[in-house]
Amino acid sequence: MSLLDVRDLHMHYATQGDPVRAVDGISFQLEKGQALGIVGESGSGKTSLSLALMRLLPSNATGYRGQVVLEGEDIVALRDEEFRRLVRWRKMSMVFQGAMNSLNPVLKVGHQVAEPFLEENKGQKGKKNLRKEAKERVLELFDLVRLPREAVDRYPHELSGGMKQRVMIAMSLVLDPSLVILDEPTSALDVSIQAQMMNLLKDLKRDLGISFIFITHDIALASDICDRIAVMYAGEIVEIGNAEDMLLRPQHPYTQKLLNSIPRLESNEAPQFIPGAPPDLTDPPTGCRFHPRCPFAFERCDRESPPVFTIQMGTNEEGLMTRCWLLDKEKR
Amino acid sequence: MRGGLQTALTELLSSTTGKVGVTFFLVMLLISLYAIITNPLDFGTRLWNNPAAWADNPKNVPPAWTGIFEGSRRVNHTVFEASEPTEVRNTTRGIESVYTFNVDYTFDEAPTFTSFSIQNVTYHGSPPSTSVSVMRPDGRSLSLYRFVVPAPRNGETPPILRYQQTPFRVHLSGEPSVAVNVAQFLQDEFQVNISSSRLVGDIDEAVFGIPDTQGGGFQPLKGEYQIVVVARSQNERDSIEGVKFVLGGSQFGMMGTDSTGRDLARGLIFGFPVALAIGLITAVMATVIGTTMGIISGYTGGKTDILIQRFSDVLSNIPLLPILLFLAFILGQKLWIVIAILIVFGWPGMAIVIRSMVLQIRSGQLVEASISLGASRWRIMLRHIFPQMAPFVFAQMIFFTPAAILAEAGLSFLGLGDPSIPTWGQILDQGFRTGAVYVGYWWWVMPPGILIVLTALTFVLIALGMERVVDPRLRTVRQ
Amino acid sequence: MSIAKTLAIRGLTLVGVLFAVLVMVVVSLGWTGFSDRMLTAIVNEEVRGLRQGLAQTIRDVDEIEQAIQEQRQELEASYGLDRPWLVRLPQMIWRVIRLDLGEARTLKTAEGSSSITSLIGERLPRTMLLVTTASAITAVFGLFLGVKLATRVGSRSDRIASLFAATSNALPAWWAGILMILLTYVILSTFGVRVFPPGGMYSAPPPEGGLARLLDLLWHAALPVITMVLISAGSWTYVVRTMVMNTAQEDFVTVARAKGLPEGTVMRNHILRVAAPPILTGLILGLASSVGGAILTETVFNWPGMGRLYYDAILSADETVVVALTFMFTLIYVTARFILEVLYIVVDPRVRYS
Ligand SMILES: Nc1ncnc2c1ncn2[C@@H]1O[C@H](COP(=O)(O)OP(=O)(O)OP(=O)(O)O)[C@@H](O)[C@H]1O
Ligand SMILES: [Mg+2]
Repeated sequence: MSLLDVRDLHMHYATQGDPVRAVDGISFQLEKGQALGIVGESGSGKTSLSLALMRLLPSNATGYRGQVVLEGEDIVALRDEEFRRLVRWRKMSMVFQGAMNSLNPVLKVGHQVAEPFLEENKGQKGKKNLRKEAKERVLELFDLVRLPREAVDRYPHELSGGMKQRVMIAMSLVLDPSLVILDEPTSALDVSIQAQMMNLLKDLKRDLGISFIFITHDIALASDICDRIAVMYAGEIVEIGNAEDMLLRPQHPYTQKLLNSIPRLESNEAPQFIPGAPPDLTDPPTGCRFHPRCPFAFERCDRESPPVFTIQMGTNEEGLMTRCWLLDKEKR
Repeated sequence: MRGGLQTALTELLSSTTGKVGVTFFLVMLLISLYAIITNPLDFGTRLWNNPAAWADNPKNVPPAWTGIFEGSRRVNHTVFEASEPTEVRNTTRGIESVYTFNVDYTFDEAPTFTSFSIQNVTYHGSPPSTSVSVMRPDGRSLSLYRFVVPAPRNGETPPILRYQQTPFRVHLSGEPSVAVNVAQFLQDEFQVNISSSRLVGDIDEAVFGIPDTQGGGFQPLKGEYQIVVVARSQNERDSIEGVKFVLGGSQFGMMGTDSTGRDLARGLIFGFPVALAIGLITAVMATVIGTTMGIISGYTGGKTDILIQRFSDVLSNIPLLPILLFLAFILGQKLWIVIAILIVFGWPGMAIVIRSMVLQIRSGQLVEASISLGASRWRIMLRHIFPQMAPFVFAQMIFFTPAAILAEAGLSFLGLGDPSIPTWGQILDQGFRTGAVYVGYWWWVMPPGILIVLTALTFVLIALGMERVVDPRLRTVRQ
Repeated sequence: MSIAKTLAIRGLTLVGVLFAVLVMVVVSLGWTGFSDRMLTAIVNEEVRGLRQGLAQTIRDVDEIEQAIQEQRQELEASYGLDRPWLVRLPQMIWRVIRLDLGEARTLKTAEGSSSITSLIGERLPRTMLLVTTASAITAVFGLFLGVKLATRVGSRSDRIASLFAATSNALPAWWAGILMILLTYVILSTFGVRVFPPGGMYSAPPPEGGLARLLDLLWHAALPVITMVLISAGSWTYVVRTMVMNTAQEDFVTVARAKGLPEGTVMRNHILRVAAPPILTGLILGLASSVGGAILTETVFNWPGMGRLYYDAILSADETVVVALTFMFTLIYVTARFILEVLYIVVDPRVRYS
């Protein structure tokens, strides 16, 4: 049984006009101890997907439906209060995009890390004991994420961006969740810090056996840590598979374009940008949502939404799952 | 810049509050125009604060339309005026010009007063005389009053002019000779004996009524009355240009009157352009100075910046009302002084906000690019920095307007208003000071307050409609 | 910048405010000749009284003139008229700064003292009673309602409250006071009951006994307090609502929710804790400026506090009292600002270290 099994998840945003279909029928599985990368351009709905998984629905969210089975239990069916008590941060936690604004400016970071722990064990032990235990837990986590111990008594504005990001990671681990969602944990950091951060995450994954959902727009970065990679486009997953296959033998034209758009040190070729603009999610293109920007598009792509085609790769029994009409055996 | 303001306006007109606010504003503008066109510029000194101009009005009476809600019919204030006689008779005693006024008296009470006046009298020989008499619906007639225009003074030569500037006016209800005549009338016609001195307060009751034999006092007598004014002169070139008889009502006009008989409607109407002028002039000036200082401060930096900053800091921390009172008291009650004070204390707040915006914009790419291209300072300020802030500046200006209007109103209410320019605050002040509040003269104290609130609200609503332009959260600085 | 330096700068600015106000007062009193005119008028008044007194005892006209001349010079010297205003007024200011406020000419306390210090001592508590009661009620009311509304931004009740706030922004407290007085009159004339007295602080004569007196005082304070609360509650609620709403949209609040904290904890520890400093600012500033605003409210309700005193001093052209009170008003305001500054540093770590 997979740790996480997402089936046909939807979440839209109500606007003045048509709703924004930011998460529009997403399905994937994630095994225990594995990392899944979710890659896509800005605005493709990655953050929305993670919010939907955490059920942190913005006030204008509508049409939240589908199944999210975490450790055998469909958490979409839970009532809000149950979800808060049982799932949030205990089973699934998250490091938000933009650590800069994720910390409360007027509370010490140590306290912010400890908060879920205090809430979880509230009323079980004496107040004093609980405090002490919480402090120990925070220090342990700070060691784990390689933050200086003094930092617990600091306020957010006294820390650097990298340190704040580490605080956020420490915070996400405080209740030993089985799944951590990392929403672009490195994009705001400069390159050297980025590398440190990736190493830290890899170590955590290895040592703690935690599963990650790693959100990024950099497919190469994703492949560094992830076992599997999913590519998101306009609120849908267009291709998902083993990281190596995705990197070396992508089948979906969009994945191919994404790979070509990364600047590479060892290559002389200039990175190629994907022509055209990402679609308007209030009124996505008919058929395959990528077809207006796709060089291989043919008439069927405009007409019908492609189903999932499973391509056997040989390296892996699972293979790639791709939504593209080019892979249809009986073409046209 | 135009683009920025245009989006601000579009934004404004797309919100309900904005629409309501703008509509109110346009209506006020129209009323102001009307007020300016129909009133002399020295309205305050020549009319409003000149008691003679309001002598013929009843005092402290409610608006005419309130009569609808009353059970009994109240006397409608009516002014009868004639410049030409109804009839000219040649008699042995001279030329008689007769002015007749028909009064359809259907009211359940006596008039609050009656008065008679003549104006612009010209004569050549012996002075003309006038008499006022009443033909009553019961067929009785009553001679009220006789008056002879003063004779020529020593050295005066014909034509003799009298009552050119101010008319000759007599308050019939309080005139002893009238009382004597009326007492005689009562004696002759009704065999009622009342001494003339006791009658003085009841003259109008007697003239427009019949004595109540049981309860004493008088019952109003309804029907057609004729007021007959006869002017008798000896020379046919003699003339009287204005004859006026006033039936003092217990209700008046659209808005009633105050304790000096002023037509409140006129004062209220005149208040529109004044209030708008105070608000807008103050707001525009404070905004212009504040924006200029803010841009200079934020853009120049260094010593200038610190100087302007500290200065604004000090000024904007001063508690406004006590200082405003003090200065208005010391420097004199002149409207322009009040406006100047409001501007002096208004701009620093603006400068502080604008400066922080400038700092934000200055670090923007476009400005940096322009600097590297060698554009001059002023050019950058005018072409790049100001346009980005224009909508915001505009919104700030709207924000500031009601504050200025309310500040002036408060000052006027404390009796420190400019007496030559009536404002709503002053009307309120007089209403409060004469105790109108404590005796329920609501028509005196409610309307000016409502207008002050409505005017301020107009700008508050417009400002509310521009919230998205002002709210830094919703505002994105365009590069 | 260290805390000490921040505080020092703020402190200096506020001292600058006091100084600026005093300079303004001196220059406008002196330059316009107002001070000279007024003092001369006082001297003339006293000389006239003197002349009448002397005429009774001394026959010789020259002798009288002689005596009066001497007296006049003495008087002028005692009022400082022999020195130019640039010398005289700064001396006065210096006395005021040392809180040596002097004597009022006509205004007196209930005990008959005309010392300005005891006048203020008598009046200030009365103003504070009104202002702080009204502010406290407003604050509590606004906090509760504001927090409530912030959780349902855009709802019908929210829109109504916004409109109410906008309206009360445009509604001057003194006019609202007049309306209230009018309303009590209407109630009195239609039902024959006096719900609240239209003005004053005690009934005349004041009732005997401590409790009865206190109740009488509260009865008289009710109308002004209700008016002030009505006027400021709307905009105050709106401020709280907007602050809370803006803070509630911050990312760290989403994080706090994601952490599984109960809604109450999120509101208390994350939203209110962060929104508190600006709300506090609004509260103290509102309090400070309503002390100044008391000039209007107290005049409307005939409440014998500081504001009313200032108004009376202006009407009776009592220079010493006006200057002393202007100083006091500014001092109160500036002190409130400074307390605010200190509190801010205590509450908001961001200020502490930046
Ligand atoms: N609260 C909201 N209301 C309406 N639209 C929203 C809301 N939040 C996000 N969107 C829109 O939904 C789409 C998906 O946004 P989302 O933040 O999930 O993208 P993303 O893939 O995370 O992008 P990025 O890489 O920039 O973080 C975007 O078009 C965005 O504008
Ligand atoms: Mg995102």
